[in-house]
Amino acid sequence: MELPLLSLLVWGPFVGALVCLGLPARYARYSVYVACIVLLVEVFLAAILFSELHMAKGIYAESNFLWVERHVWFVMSLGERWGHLRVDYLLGVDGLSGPLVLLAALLFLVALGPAWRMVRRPRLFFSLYLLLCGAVMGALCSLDMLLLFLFLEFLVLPTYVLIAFWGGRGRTEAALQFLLYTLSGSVLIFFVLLGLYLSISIPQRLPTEVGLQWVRHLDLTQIINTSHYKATGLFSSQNMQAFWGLPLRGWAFLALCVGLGIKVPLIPGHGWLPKAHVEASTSISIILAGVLLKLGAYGLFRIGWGVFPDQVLEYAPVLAFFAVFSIVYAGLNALVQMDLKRLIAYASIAHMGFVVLGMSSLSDRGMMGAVYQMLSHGLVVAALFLIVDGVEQRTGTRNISHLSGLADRGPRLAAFALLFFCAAFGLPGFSGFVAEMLVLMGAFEAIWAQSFSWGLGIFALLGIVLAAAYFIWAYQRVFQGPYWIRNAERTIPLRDICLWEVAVLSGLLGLVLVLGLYPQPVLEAMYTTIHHLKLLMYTYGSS
Amino acid sequence: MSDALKTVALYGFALAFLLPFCSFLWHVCPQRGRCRGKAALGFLIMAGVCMGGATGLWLVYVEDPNIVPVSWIILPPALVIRFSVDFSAPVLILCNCTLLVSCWVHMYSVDYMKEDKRLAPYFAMLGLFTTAMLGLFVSGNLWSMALCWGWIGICSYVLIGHNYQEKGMARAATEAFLIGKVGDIGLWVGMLVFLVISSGLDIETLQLYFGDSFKQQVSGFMVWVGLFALCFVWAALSKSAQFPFQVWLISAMRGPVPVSALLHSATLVAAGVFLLGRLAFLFTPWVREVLLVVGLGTALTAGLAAYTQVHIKRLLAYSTISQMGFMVALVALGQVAYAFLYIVLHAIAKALLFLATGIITQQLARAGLQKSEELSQMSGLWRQMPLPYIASAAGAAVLLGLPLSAGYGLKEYFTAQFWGYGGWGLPVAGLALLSTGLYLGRLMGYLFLKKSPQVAQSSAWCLGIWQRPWLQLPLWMGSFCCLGVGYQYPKIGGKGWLWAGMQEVSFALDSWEVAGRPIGLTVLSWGSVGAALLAAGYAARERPRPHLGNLGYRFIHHHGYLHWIYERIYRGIHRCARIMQRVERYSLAPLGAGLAKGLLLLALGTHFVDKQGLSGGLKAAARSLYRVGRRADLLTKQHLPRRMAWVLFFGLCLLWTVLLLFYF
Repeated sequence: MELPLLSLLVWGPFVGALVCLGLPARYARYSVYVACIVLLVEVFLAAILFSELHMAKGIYAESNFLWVERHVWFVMSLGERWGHLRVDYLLGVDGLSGPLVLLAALLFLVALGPAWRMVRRPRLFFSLYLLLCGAVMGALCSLDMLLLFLFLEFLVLPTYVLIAFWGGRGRTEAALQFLLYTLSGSVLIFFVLLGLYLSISIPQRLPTEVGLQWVRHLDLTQIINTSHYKATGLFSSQNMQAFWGLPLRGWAFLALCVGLGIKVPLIPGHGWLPKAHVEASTSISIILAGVLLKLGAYGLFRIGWGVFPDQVLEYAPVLAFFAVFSIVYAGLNALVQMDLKRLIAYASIAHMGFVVLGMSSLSDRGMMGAVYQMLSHGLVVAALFLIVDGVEQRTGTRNISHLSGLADRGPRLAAFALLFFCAAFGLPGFSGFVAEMLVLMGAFEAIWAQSFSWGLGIFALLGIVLAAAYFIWAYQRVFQGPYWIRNAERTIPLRDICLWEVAVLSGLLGLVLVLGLYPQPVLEAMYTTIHHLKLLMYTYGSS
Repeated sequence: MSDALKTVALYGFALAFLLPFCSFLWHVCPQRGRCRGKAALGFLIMAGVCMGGATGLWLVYVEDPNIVPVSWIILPPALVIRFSVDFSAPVLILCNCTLLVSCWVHMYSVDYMKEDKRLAPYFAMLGLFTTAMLGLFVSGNLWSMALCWGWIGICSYVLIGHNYQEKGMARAATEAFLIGKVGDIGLWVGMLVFLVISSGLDIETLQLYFGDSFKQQVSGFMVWVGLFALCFVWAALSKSAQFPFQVWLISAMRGPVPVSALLHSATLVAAGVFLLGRLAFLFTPWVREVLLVVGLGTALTAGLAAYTQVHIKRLLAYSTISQMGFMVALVALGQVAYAFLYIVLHAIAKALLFLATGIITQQLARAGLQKSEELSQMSGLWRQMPLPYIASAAGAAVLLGLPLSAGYGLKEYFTAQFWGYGGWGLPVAGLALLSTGLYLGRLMGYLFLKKSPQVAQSSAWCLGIWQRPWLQLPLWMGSFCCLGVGYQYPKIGGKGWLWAGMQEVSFALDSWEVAGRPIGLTVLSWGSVGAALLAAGYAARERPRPHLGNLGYRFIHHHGYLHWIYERIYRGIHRCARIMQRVERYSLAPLGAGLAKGLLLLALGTHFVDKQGLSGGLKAAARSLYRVGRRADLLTKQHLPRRMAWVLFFGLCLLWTVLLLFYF
């Protein structure tokens, strides 16, 4: 029997969380070691998974996924009219989720760094942290839509507590806003889920019944097949019943885009992000920006692109417009931020705009670029938050106008800052360049690009220049010029970054450089899946 | 035999590229003791030797195709990107020139920057910059070109901002970097567009696609190709500091002298012209016209601006801009080989001028004779500083194209080209040449020829130079390179090796026909020499001016006040960002809070209605109706908050009614 790799990946952290909680008070400080060991195992498992990823084809059928585990969770008879309801414990990865699993495992490990000497209630912190990790892994690996939704909702809880308990001064408000935004998004996703249950029934053989049964089952490996929709079903593509000028399927896609767009976030739904990023502690900021934002984009890919290809084909230009608007709007906002963390938060929004732009280009290159941008942004943003944490730890402030000339006392910190700033605005040679180039290629050759005549792509390019401007300007103000820190009680003798920080940052730098200079293996791992996804869009979408 | 030699030569090239990079790695790693830069110099000299040897082997023995492809991303059919390396003769000559100038700068820095505290990062960045520049020259593919292009930008940012503690220095570096970044958009858009309309970004492939045969076949599409090629022109103009981008070069002058000598001679600014030359086959006639207008216009205006400068480094900066204009004009005329030749000669001459200037200012500052770098404060130095005098004279001679100097033949050809082009080009080019003479003469006249009682008083301070071999060596070598004998132009007899090598430009294109070279042309190129003599004579007798002259003079001096326009643009963007921030703060950010508050209000309202209206039944409803009537009567008499509450209440009632109606 094959090792249930994905189950280990998903439930390992849950077990770790229980262990952390169960530690006696005397050994509370060892909970970080528990977390560290669990996460090392996670990274190891994710690396194994990643190494075989190029064999995954994704989307079409169960056999195209790797390490599939399928167990019937429950089957329920709903009577003559509704048939059976079935939910599976169905895990599997393909080239879309596999790289993200590896990224998530790595970032959870890296984010342990700033939390290493957590003083307040370490057992609770690390058990919640591990719960969050497990939920993220679950959301990335599960292929049953209800399971995915459950994991996606479950992870809001530990995140809320982690922000609200261990954050900065305005943490409660930030956490509440995060909760409100995310849950209102979830409501919309939930409606879509219900609608799908109402419109899909797959003929299946159930273990408890005799003969073929009509089963309502949101199995993401089969859901794409249009023959599984009842012709009169709510979200069937034959159902032309328009509601305020839009067929129900269109409404469903819209709801999905809004619900997941809040998580990505796309611009009108981004209100929670700057606050949450600023108020959360550094390790949680890393997880928020590096992992949780990606889940939104992943969800869009998996559910939006996988279930509503026809709608995607229709509304891709609109999404692309919102993405480019995000890029420019967030870029302009980042230009005038005075808080370094806030600046990075807005930069994150701009970067996620590139992800959505690549996704909505509906071309191989663009969609590969989107996934690549997720990886790249995850790594870079983790490093950026570590650097800002370093600045804050040493000077007691994150305010740009209170800092000057830090390069004088902390040359290593400054060097890493410059390198990662460059990586963040996509200097060639770093991973961001490959990602942005792929995305822009997609944007220039997308089918909607002809009518827009490349305008969106050029605006996105302006966003890159804006990124260069705000990062280099911030670098100039914080790290260059004469050394002083305003409002400091005394002249602080600034220490340069210490060994573990150098180790973590150079590890991240190495990854970013490898991704930027030799993208072949990672692109190869995701290419087959993305290509299948694209074919699928055009076969099912246009019919 | 040839294969073995080829392998040896390839290893030589590999070493030549890796050694500057090793210098970078060496200086990045923590070292015991203080960095003195000797290691970097060693690496660079070794790289230079390897490059020289390999070039010799390659050009003499290897006649294979020069392009070596290396695959980078292979995902057919979506994406296939190969890097390719082009080792044709002109490219190799440019590489050698870059390494030569880089070696000089390293030597010079070892002594010149001696007292600097942050030498390790300085030399590290010099090494990285040199590597990136070499990579740019040899890359036969726009992908690798963009890679090196980006790294050149960031390295120059760090190098220009080396003394970031000083006031305004960091800002100058940022400005230079960001203007370069704006230029990068052009490169990226161009790459993306050409990727979409053709299959790859190999320069060879592009030439096959859009070369001469293509132009004759589909002339309608060429309008578009020209338009897209304008993107590359945009990028190249920004790197080569042509109109309207030249502002960055002036602010970049604030960097250390050796950095200026490297950046503004063989490397950073040359990158733009190099890109133009590589992609010259894309340029349709009207694009070339644009290039010609921009190049000659910049050459003339920057030449005049240089003449009006009082600050020695600014004079040299404007001179660089002007010379770059000549190169761009040469590309516009289709003479890529001459443009590349111009890069080499200008690099040597300009590096020499910068290095000499550095010695002069440093020595004067050490002697406590002057603080600023203003021309009026240094004069009559030829007796005290013979070596910088010789070096500057050699550099100026090359730029002027004096006979027996390296620049002579080139200048002859340059004027001949414009004679052939005819029209407005000839007078403008002639005027630009004259302005070259003017500012060089002014420089020489002020620095060396003018009598200065202040300096003559003491002469002991100037002797220090003779004890500093690392400062001397580049000047001697550079002065030697400025001699024309070594290159042997056709004027002097036979085609010289440098000229012949440049003629192998595989990407040259049809040029405007040159209709002979009447002897009258020489008058033009001699005119600039005359102008130089005049200006030198004038400068030698000119008294330092307290103020700048009239409006026109000031306009030329500030080069059309472009920096002011740029300042406006920065402010505009900043203001735009502020508006966006306000939008964010007052509309989108409170959305969440507003949502929460709205929910709360709705809940309170519902509770109120529930308590007051529904539970009390009809009687309560009647009572409340009565109360409502009275309240409505009182509404006008009550104070604001209570009135608002009532308005809110009615609003809620209305909202619920609408909701209920809609539901049923």
